[in-house]
Amino acid sequence: MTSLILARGYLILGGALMVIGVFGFLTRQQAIAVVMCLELVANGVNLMLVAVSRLLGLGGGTGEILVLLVLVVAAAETGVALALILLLHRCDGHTELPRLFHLRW
Amino acid sequence: MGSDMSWGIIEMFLFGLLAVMSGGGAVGVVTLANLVHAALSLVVCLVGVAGLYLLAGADFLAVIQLIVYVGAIAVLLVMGIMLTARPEMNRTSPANHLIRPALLAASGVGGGLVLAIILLRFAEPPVRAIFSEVVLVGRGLLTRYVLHLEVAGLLLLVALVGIIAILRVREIVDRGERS
Repeated sequence: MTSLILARGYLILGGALMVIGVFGFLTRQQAIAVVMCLELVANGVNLMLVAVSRLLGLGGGTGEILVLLVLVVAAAETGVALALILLLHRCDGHTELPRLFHLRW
Repeated sequence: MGSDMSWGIIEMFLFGLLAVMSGGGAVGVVTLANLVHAALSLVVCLVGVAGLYLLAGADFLAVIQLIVYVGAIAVLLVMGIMLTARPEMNRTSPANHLIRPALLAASGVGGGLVLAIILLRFAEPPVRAIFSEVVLVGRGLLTRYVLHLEVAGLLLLVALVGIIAILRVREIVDRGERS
């Protein structure tokens, strides 16, 4: 990361991934697609963490360790979400979120 | 000095390439109606992010990204798609009727991020990436951040047990109804 412009580019790209992920999370109909959008958000956050740790000059691998912890949380969340989706498919026969009327209220 | 300059240009070019790769992959995840295509698009995006880690000097993270995200989570998602796929799945619209509120929310998040990026003051010359921080990461995880590591391990264990419990709920309910 040689220039300050490029370092901010990492931040902007991470933010863009996060925004795209949030938009997809709110609009996709398929439950699995929603999980994929959550992965996008986690990746955007990780990219921003790396960029910020470089920009603030945090030594000692602090940024990397934070990213690893976020990765663990994202992996656990994906596993649980997929288990819930499989259970949903077994009970209802579909995984489309707008058709889950019994989940409202 | 001259080689520094040309490396800067190469770095810019690589950054642009990888940014287009990961950004395009992300847009594909959100817009493609076919779930398998969306998952492949996600893989493209994740590989792009791994390349960006490499470019930022976080080579350890790049490898972990490839192993965990591209190798494990993408395969898990594709397995999930295959287990829950139905023929009419790809004919439905990928987006629901909430596009306008979602745009509002996403632009709110984006505006906040842009504001934070503009307002934050950073150390003026950004720290030159130290190649191979594996030693630092390993030492940090086992000394200063050992509690975090343990909590992360506990979280994974709880998630694993929870997944098994969730997927056995139906069996247990069925057995209870029969007896």
